[in-house]
Amino acid sequence: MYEILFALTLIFTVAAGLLLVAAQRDLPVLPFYLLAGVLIGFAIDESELLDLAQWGIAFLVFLFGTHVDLEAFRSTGRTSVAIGVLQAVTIGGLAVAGALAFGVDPLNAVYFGVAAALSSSLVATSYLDTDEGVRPTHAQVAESIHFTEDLLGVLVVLGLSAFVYAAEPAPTQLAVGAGLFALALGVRYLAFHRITSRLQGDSEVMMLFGITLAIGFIALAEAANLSIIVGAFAAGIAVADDYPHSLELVDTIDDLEDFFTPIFFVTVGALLAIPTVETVGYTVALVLAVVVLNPLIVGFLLLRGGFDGRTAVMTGLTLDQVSVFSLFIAIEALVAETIARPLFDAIVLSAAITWIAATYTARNAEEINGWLREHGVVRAVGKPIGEKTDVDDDLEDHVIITDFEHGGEHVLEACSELDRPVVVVEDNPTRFDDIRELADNYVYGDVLNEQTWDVAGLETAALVVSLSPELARAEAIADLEGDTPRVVRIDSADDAEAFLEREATGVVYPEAITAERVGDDLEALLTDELSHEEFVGRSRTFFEDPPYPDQES
Amino acid sequence: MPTGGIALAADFALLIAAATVLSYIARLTGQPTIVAYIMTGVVVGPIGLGIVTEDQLIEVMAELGLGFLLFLLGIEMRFDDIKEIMRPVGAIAVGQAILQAIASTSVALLLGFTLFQSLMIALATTFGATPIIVKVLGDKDDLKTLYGKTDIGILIFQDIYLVMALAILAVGTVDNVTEVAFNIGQVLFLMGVIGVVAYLASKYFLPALLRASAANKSTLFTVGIAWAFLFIFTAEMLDLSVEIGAFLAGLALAQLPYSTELKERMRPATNFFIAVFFASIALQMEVDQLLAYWQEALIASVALIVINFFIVFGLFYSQNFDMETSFLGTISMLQVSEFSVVLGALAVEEGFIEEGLLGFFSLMALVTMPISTYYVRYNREIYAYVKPYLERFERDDPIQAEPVEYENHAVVVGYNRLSNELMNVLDEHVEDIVVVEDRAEHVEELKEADYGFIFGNARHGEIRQEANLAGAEVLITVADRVDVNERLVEESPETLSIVRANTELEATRLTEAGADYVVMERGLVGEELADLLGTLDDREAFEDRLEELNARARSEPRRAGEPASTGGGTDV
Repeated sequence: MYEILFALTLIFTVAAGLLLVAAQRDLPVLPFYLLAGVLIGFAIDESELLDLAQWGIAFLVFLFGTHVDLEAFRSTGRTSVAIGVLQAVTIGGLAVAGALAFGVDPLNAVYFGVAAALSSSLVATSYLDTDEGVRPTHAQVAESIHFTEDLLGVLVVLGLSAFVYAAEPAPTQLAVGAGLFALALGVRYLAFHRITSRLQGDSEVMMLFGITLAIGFIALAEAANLSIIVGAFAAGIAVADDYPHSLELVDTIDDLEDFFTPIFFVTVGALLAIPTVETVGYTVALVLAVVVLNPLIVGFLLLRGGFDGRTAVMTGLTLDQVSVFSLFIAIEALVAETIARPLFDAIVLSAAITWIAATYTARNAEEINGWLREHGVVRAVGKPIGEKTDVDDDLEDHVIITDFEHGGEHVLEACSELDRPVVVVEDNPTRFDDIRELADNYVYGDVLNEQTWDVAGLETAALVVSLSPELARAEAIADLEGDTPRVVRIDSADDAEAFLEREATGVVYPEAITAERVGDDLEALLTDELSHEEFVGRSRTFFEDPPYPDQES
Repeated sequence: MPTGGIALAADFALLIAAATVLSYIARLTGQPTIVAYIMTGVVVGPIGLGIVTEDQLIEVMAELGLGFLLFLLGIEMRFDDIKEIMRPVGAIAVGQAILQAIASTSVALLLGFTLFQSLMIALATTFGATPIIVKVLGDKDDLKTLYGKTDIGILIFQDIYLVMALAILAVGTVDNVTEVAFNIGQVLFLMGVIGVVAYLASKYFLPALLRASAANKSTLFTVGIAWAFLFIFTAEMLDLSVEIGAFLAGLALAQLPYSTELKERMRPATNFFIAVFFASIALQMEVDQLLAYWQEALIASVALIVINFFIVFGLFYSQNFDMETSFLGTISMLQVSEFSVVLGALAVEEGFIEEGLLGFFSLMALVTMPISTYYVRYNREIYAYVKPYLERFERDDPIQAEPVEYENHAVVVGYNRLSNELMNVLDEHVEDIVVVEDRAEHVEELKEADYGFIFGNARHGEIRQEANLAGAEVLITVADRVDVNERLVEESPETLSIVRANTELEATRLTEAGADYVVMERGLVGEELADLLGTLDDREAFEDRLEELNARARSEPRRAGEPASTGGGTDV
């Protein structure tokens, strides 16, 4: 008891310290957990913690499973799925081939390939603001690519347990795996709501129910000689992450995960041995593959897929980290004693290195993008403006709208009522079909590209409206050449000041606008100028009969 | 075990699964989960199916469970909550401890226990069962009534008593009296030292630490856990009971504004470990140990419930409570609590008593807790039945019920420019405004402000209850998560609600849930821009309009009053 208490105390004290520093400096914490594990590895006996650490894996994967939103994924992610799969297969194939060429045995070559190919949403969420209501295109694309690669991770785990670890023939194993997922879907759609509705929101029993679901599926997976990761993921699928379960079940499991996650990552760090030359070699190769090759391939594929240069670069820069699933796979292999020790160490090390690097590149993505642009890298691989452009030649006194999805439909509607021509500038090919339907003139291109503005007819335009929540884009528009007035969206009073100094003609601060409007309405209600019905009615104008279908759903 | 890969510990998994099934049944039959957890050990352990033995992981988790249970007790001890009724509550608690100790010792002696055993029984059976009282009264919405508050107050006093009992038990068995005295003295001294450290920390160190950690979702939780572990570990190192270390760690956090949120964040982990702890108790018990004193346990249960009723009722009455409060407050407390099992388990571990006596405690808890849920749930019905006999003893000037903290108020979830402006509008129209916000950067500002402030995330039921959401006149929420908003709206059907939505889909969902006014930022921005476009041909009008927009964006909120927000979305 004393030993494990000491280990837990040490882990959580160190974790708390790291989290505090990470929160202050806005750094991701997972790599530091790994490093902390390396540091305190000598003081604790990690074999005592392995039981607890495995619960950490189970929770991480289980939670990932609960957040899988099959419907939303089907409707938005087709391009991203293709790109994610292509990237993983290309890099994975290259890495496996390379490893084989260096005389690595086939199985270890596969481990190496997987580690080089996959990146993960579980890591990326720490620097992509996934909770925000308004998100730029590249964050949305990155999210679905990550998600695709996480699914690939689960598939690799399934494949490994079927082909490598299992005693039984692979087809049976795969069939059992498929059966597990079928069962999970059955539970989700047939049994889950029936069982939980009788609990009337008792979060304590709900939490236990969720954990037991995970335990049950993991037990099934174990009975079938499959990895617990497959079981935990299936269990996650079985949980419906909709209201009110998102509050009563998923959130509580989420809180519980916070207990097991530090234990898991610190323990993994503690497993590291002193690196050998071989380890360093593997690590360098992995880091290069992940940090350099992955972003390049993704960027290239995105440009080919019709995305503009900036989105391509920014998305690519979020895919430069080793996946958590690669770590899981490495640990399973370590327990099964099928992985070469130096390779295992290299995977853990490169995870720590790339997670830190990924934070840096994500934070400096704008600068890196600018540098690449200046050096002609983007131009070399893609065309800035595709054929998806249709602007009348003699357009005059028109309004140019960028980042249409953030409220552009109302501006468009107003313009059509006023008979004023509009040009929509858009950079997300997946939205383009909607825009083509709604607007007569549109330019497909990057707002940071001068050519885009030439085509959009900036010189003869009456007004430019930027609705982007991204500061960098707003800045680019405020800095445009010429006298055309421009109005940009900003999100704080300080930004308003800065942009007005920066030659923006006008700023739109949504919170200030809402505050004033709703404040007036409420005051009118309280002073009996409005009846309750009128008050309610005033808020309904925008959604009861929305002018256009919801863009984000 | 699979040939490749990792496996979860099977015994532990089975224990959790069994606990889930039983607590599910408990929930359907309206029983507290604690009963289900204790039963779990009975069912899967050697007494029942014999499929689970206590392995190392279960042992560790159980130990942590007990630690966390005490940590939670500590953190729930907010003296502010019972300040007004401190004196009568203290008198009842002390009187009850003494009188009940005498009564239970006598009953135990009569039943043939030795004097030492009888004293242990007296020590262990004094407590009311917190999970039943809090759970059932919470379900009935009675926690804020006078009798509910009084009972909670008594439970807080009992917690102190429990901690002292644990401290004394932790000394362990020793041979002579001087050594006992010396050991107790040493324990009390070391506890005092830890207590002083905890107090100083809560005064000078913790506020800044928690403020820094409140910024991030996981940080607050991890810092809380680390804090608990530090104390648990120190206690273990000094050979003190880890439970006391945990309790003091919790107590140091309790008086800080972050305590509710921290507690709610840690609740799932705590519940999880507590489940393991109670389920593990019976794992080492054989059937003849559980049933060693079954007749005595049944007789003692009945006898103590009857005797304790008169003791507690008399104490309530003597403290000038009215008849109904005395009656309701008394019958809620009539059961053997899970703490007798806790004390019993510790006493067995330290060699004070044998397993049979722990079986006796477990049996009493298993019998009295389920039965008492029924009389606590139907307490008013029972009272209506006995009321005619009691009425003539009614006091002339009983203690009056205190009003609940917030009433006829506005609940504001999330602090930003929009909610700030609406608060200024509301100021003259509602009695009170309470802000719920979990972003650390606003803590100082909101603590200074005139309105009520609860640090926390509205997704926790406890936070919503603390804000008395159901009784609010107005609800304003700018929380980002639509499910949180939906829950808020659903829980306040009579309230005028103003809710922010991000998309049309969310807006429709919230309207269907009963929101009155749904704020669609995008729509309003679009409308404003449309307005601007209308003036585009008239240069002067256009510039005026633009100037208005700019001035608004740059400025502080229009309506004077509280300091402006620093802007940005809210992540409540």
